[in-house]
Parts: sequence; structure tokens; C-alpha cells
Amino acid sequence: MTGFLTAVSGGLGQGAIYVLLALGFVIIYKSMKVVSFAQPAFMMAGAILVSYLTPRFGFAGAVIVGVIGIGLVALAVERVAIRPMVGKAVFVIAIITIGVDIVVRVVAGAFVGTDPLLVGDPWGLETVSIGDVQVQQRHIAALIAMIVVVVALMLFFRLSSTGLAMRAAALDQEAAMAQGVSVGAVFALSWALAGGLAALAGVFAAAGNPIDQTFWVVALAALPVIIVGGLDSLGGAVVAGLLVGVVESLVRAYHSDLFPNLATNTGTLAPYVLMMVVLLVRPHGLFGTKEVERV
Amino acid sequence: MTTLIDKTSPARSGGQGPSGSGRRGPVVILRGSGRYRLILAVCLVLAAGFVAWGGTLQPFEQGQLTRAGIFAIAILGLNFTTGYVGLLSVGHSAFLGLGAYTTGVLVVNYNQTALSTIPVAMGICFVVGLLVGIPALRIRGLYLAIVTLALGVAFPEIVARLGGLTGGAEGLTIRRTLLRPPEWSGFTLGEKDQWLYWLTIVCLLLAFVVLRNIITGRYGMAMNAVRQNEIAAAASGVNIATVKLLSFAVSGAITGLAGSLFAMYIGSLFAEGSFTVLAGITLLIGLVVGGERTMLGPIIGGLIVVFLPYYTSDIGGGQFSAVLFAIALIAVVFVAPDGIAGGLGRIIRKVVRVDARRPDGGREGGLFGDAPTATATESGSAR
Repeated sequence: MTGFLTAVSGGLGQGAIYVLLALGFVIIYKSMKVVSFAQPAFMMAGAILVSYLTPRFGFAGAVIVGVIGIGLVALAVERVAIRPMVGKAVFVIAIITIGVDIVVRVVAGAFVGTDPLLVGDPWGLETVSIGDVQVQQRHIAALIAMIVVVVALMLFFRLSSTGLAMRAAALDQEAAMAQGVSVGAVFALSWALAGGLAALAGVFAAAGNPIDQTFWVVALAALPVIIVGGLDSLGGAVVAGLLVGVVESLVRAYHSDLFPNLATNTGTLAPYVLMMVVLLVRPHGLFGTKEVERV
Repeated sequence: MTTLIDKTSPARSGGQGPSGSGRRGPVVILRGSGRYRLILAVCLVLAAGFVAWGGTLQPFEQGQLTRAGIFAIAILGLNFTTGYVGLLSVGHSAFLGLGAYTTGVLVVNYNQTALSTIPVAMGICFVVGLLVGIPALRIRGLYLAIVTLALGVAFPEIVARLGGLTGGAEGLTIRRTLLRPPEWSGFTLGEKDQWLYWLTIVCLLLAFVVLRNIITGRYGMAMNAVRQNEIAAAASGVNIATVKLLSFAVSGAITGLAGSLFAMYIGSLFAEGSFTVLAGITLLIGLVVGGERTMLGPIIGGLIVVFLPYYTSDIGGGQFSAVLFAIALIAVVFVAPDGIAGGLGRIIRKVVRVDARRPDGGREGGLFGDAPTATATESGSAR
């Protein structure tokens, strides 16, 4: 039972990282109807930037500056590379985000030397005991940060006029424009938010293990997350992120008991298997909106 | 005032009326006329000349050209389902890998000749394509893209698991002597590069002709209809399930053919190296940059994904070349969102227009893609 709970706690911590990443995907998807494949690069760039800033600003300061910095980078990327292509086929914009991903990832990766790059977090692999269960501090921190972010985003979208404008633009771009919403500003803001969220996710993904050139691969698991939750559902991203994190962690923990004859790495595949199962039942994810088509 | 009248004259604004009266209108060439045949013959001679020139190159350059041809075949397969039917696949690297491993395993473990494994590889990929096509019946758009991504992610893991057959993580090495060209071809073992080059050219040609005939035919019309509007297509008597499944299967088989050739070309197979999701994304990049829904696009795309990284690494070494590649990719997509072949076609159509003699048109799948009138209806569905 303790083993089970340990696995669940680790899964929730990992899931919190997925949630942060998935929220970025969903925010961009809602505003532009595009899946941005540049998110993994922003995640990696965020973690690397923070690890360089920590000696100067301390960890907390570095996280704040790093998240804002990557948000600004994402804003610039949207303005330069994405905005001119708005209205072109989704497919074409997706390819551009792949190009952006390569550029950002390689440029950021150039700052990773041969020495292991540490993000300088205070948690490391320290644990606290809750009852019999040893829970890693970094997982608790990720979970708390995720909850704070989700609540802040919820308040932002519900209460602020900018948030209302973003929701309006997501619902119907033309109608929003007719009401005076600057859709361009919404695009820019959604990219900045997604960039900042990815950077924050990167910080927690890097807590406890050094950053290397393949660090961005973690972000790939956020793709099944957004599918499980539904491409256009922020709540779905939260639920699915935690769900995928826990399932992945459990499969990893009990892999040798469950599937003694299966692949050595079923943990990596678990999110995708979960995604297939969910899609068989609900083709638009758990909370996604079903698209209505007119002939 | 006179300029204003000029601008509104039908020959310039419409572009659809008979262009005999317009000074600037495109030259119209009838399909099957003498001039059409002449232009076609010149193009064919130029293409044949290029291929023959490739045959005389040094082994390394020729190898690069062979590689480009192999990627062109793979992208042709991807174009068939992603371009024409609109089923976005990110995981075609799995078909490439499946074809390659089928050839590798049969040659190494079962002593088959490399050539005889090609049909087997295509058959296996056809069946797997049918299976993978099943989710496409229910799942659409970006959701389907991520499902195919899962296939791409799973493939290296599965290969690693079947270590006894595939060599697992250490990879599968096909000894050079096992890839000896067959006796009847007249090539010796030392001329393996030559043999593979010509084999690739022949396969590319065959795949090109077969797919072109399918696309311009009745089945191709059904494929286009499914992409543009499934409900309308079904109402017109198109069996959507058949079209989607078969197109995915044919697409998989063609990409599997490319994989089989790739195994012969590369000689040693590493699933973690050659057949990851990145390879699937590379194929997608080739398709978009070359030109979706065009026949020449995949060939241009194949040349680009092989030669562009090669030249960018010439300019800036190491890491920097990847950045240059990505920037070049973004630049191409900015200038020509419908790909190089699509962009060229747009320019050429301003000067020369090829009209079918048949009244029903049938220009779908021309060398440079659909005529603009045929694609105008889908701007709505693309969003």
C-alpha cells in the first residue's frame, strides 16, 4: 500500500508538470486553433534560463524572471513567425511551430555544456513523510505551484476584462472583433502565457535531475494529455494531466508485475495507451467540445 | 479612367473566361495537343537527363541522391493519405521502420535476397496500414495526428522489445555481401551503389505512376471528396470507411517500400536513430515544403530534406546547421504556403494554362496540384 501511495504521489507531481504544459497547448489551441509544437522548446529554454539566473537572483527570483523572460520570447516568436501566417492552413502553421521548436531548442541547447546543468532548486530528491509514505518535496512543490497557477488562470479568465476578451475570441473571433476585442493581442497574450507556463513546467521537470539535450522529450507526454482532456478544455487539461501522470507512474512502478513479457519501457507508452482507450469511447477527449459540421 | 476599365475587364479579373481576347491572359494549351506533347517531352528529357547525370556521380553524391529518392517515395506515400484524404499522420516513420525491419530481418535471419523482401515489406505495411486506419474512422483532425504520433513513439519501443528478431537496441546490421545485386542486373557487388540508385529510380517511377493513376481516377475523386466534406461525400455515394482504410493502407505500403529500400541503402538499422517520431516529422516537413496534393511535391520534398541539411551543415557546422535548416524551412513556408511545387504551379499557371479537352475537367492531381478553382471550396474546411 505504501508503495502504491508513493507511486501515486510521484505521479501527481509529474502530472502537475503535464498540467502546466498542457494548459499552454490548450490556451494556444483555443485562441488560434493550432497545436503549437514549440512548447517543448520553451520548456527546455525556461529550465536552462532559470539555471543560469539562479546564482544571481536566487532560485525564487530566477523562476520569476525566467518565466517572464520565456513568456516574452514566446511573444516575440508569435509576432515574428506566427502572426503573418494567421488564416493559412492549420497544417502550415504547425510546420512553422516545428521550425520554431528546432531553432529555440538548438539555441537553448547550446548553453548546456558537458557538465550537468542544475536548475538550483531547494528540493532535490529530499522527501517528507506523510504517515508511512515518503513523498518527494519536489512533487509537492510542483503540485502546489500547479494549483496556484490554475486558480490564478481561472480568476484571470473569469474576472479580468482581458480574460473575458480571450474567452470571447476563443468562442467567435469575428464577433469578438466586432465588439472591439483585439484578436491580435489575444494571440500574443496566449503565446506569452503558454511560453511562461512551459518555462515553469521546465523548472519543475528539471528539479532533482540535471538538464541535458534530450530534456525536451518530457514535453511530448503533454500531447496525449491534451487529447485525453480534450484539445479545447482547460479543466480537461488539469484532470487529464494528473490522470496521465498517475497512470504513467503506476505502470512504471508495477510494470514488472503487470506485464512481465512486455516492452521494457511501458511507462513511456502508458500515456498513449490511455489516450487510445479514451478516444475509443470519446473521440473528442473527456471534456472536448464535439465539433458540429454543416454541409 | 482607362486603367480602371482595364482592371475590371473580365479577362483579367475572372481568369476563367476564354483568354483569347486578353493581352495578359495565360497561354492556353490543350491537353493532348502537339504543343502539350512537345512541352511534356522536353520535361521528360530534362528529367531523364538529370537521372542519367545522377548515375555518373561519385558514390557519395550518388548515395545522397539515392537517399533523396527513398525519401521521395516515403513522402509520396504520406501525400496519398495526408495530402489527398486529409488524414494527418505524424507517425509514418513507423511504416518506414516496419518496411526497413521486414527487409532487414528477412535478409539476415531467413537468408532471403534483398529484392524479394520488397513485396513482403509492402504487404505487411499494407495490413498494418489497414489496422492503423481504423481509428481514423472515428477520430479526426489533430486528434488523429496525435494518435499516429503514438504509433511513431511506440515503434522504437516495440523494436527494442523484439530484440531476438530485430537486434533490439544494438541494432541490426545487414552484411554488405547479403545486399549483393542480383545476377541478372549485371551489377557486381562493388557496384552496389549504382544498383541501388537505379532500383530506387525505378521504384520511384513505379510508385509515381501508380499513385498518379489512382489519384486522377475515380478513386482519387472519392479521396478528394472525403477530404473536402465527409458528409457531402457520403451523400454522393462515397464509402468513407473504404476510402480512409484503403488510402491509409496504400500509403503505408508505399512508405514501407521506401523503408525496404532504406534498409538496403543504410545497411545497419537502429530504431532509436532512424525511425523515431523525428523521422515522421521529417517526412511531414518534406511534404509541406515540397507541396501537399501535388505530384512533384514529394520529389522536391525528398530532395530538400536530404540536401538542405547537407548544405546548411556546410555553411555552419554542428548545432548551427539545425538552426539554419529550421529557418530555411520557415522561410519556404512563408513564401509558398502551398509548398514549392504549389508555388511554382501558381506562377506557371499565370503564364501557361493547360486545359483538358474533356468537358469534365479532371485536372485534379496535375503535376503542380489542383487548379485554383478546385481548391477554392476547401478553405472553409481547412480551418
